[in-house]
Amino acid sequence: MVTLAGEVVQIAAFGRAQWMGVLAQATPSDLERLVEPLQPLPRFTVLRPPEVGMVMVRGRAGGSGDAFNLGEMTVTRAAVLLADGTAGVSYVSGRDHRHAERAAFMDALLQTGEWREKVQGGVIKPLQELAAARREQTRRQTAATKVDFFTMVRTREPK
Amino acid sequence: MSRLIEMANLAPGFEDPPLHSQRVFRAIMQAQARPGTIADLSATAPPKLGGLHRAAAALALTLCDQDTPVWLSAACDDQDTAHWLRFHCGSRKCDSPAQSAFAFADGATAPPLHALNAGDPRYPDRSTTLVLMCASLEGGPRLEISGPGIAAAKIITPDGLPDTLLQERTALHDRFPLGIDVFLVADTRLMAWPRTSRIAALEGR
Repeated sequence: MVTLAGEVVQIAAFGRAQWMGVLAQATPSDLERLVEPLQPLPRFTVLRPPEVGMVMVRGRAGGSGDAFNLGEMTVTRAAVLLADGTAGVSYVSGRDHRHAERAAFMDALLQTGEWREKVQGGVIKPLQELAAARREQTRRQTAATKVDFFTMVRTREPK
Repeated sequence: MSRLIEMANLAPGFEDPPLHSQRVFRAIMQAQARPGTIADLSATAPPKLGGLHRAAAALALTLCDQDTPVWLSAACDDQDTAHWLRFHCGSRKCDSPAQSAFAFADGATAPPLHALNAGDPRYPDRSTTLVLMCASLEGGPRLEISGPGIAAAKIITPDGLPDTLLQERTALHDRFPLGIDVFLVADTRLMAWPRTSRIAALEGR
C-alpha cells in the first residue's frame, strides 16, 4: 500500500484489487523489465485478446460533492487462462496491448500458490516502489513551486 | 444469476474477435439471403462448448450482446455455457423462451415456436431467433424449401428436427410479418430458415 506521502507501507493482506491496481498503473516498460527475470514462465491461453475501449471517469468536486462525469479515458483489457484453469484479468490505461496481456498474466500467477511469492516480490513490490518514487518526485517538484498566499486580516476601521 | 462470472476454466471465444465476428456475420447474412444453402464456419468457429455446437457458439459471439437476452434449452443449459455467454457476449440468460432474443436448443428440447416471441406488429424484428442444433444438415428426410432468395424450389435434408416444427412454422405464416427466424446448425455448419421461407415435407425419401 502506498500512501499519498510516498512511503511504502506493507499491509498484511495484499488483496487482488491492490495488485491489479499496481499492475494497471505500471509503465509497460517497467513491467516488461521486471517480468523477464522470472522466466521460464508457464504457458497460458488467451481468453480475451487485448481490446481497447473507453471508460467514463467520474469525480466529485472536493471529494464530497455530487458525482459528475469528468471525461472518458482509453483503457485496454485482456483475460488469460493458465493451464490449471486459473483466470487472470486486467484493465490498464492506454492502448498498449502487451501491457494488458502481461498484467492479466501476472494477475493469474498471483492467484496460484506456486507463483504468488515470486511475482509479489519480483514484480509487484518493485513496481510499488517505482510508483512511490515517481509520486515522491512529483511531490517534490510541486512543492518547490509552492506559493503561500496570505491575506492581511483587515480589521474594520471605525469611522 | 449472480453478477459475478465464474472465470475458472472459461473457454476462449474467437481467436481474433473483430475479424472473425465480421466473417461469421457475413456468412450468416449470406445464409439468410439464400435460405437453404449451407454455410461452413469451420475456419472461424470457437471450439465446441458444453452443449453448444461450434456454429451456434460462433453465431452467439457474433450476434449476441448485452441487449439480447438468451434462452438455453436443457440441452445446453449448463453453468459453463451461461458464464461463457456472459463473459464473451455480455448476454444474460432469461427464464422463458418468450423473453429471449436468441433461443438455443436441440431437436429434442426445442420449445414449440408459439412459445417464442414472434415480434410486435410495429416492430416485427423484435422476435426471437431460434438456433436449432441438429444431428446433421444433410441425410435426413427430404424437405422442399421455396420463397424469397430461392430461385426455384430446392430440396434440403436436415436431420434431427423436432417432429412438429414444420407445422408450427406453417401456422405462423398467417401472422406475417410476425414470425420466427430459425437457424439450423450442426457442428460448424449453418443453414437459415427466415420467416419468409415456405418449407414442406416431401413424401418418401
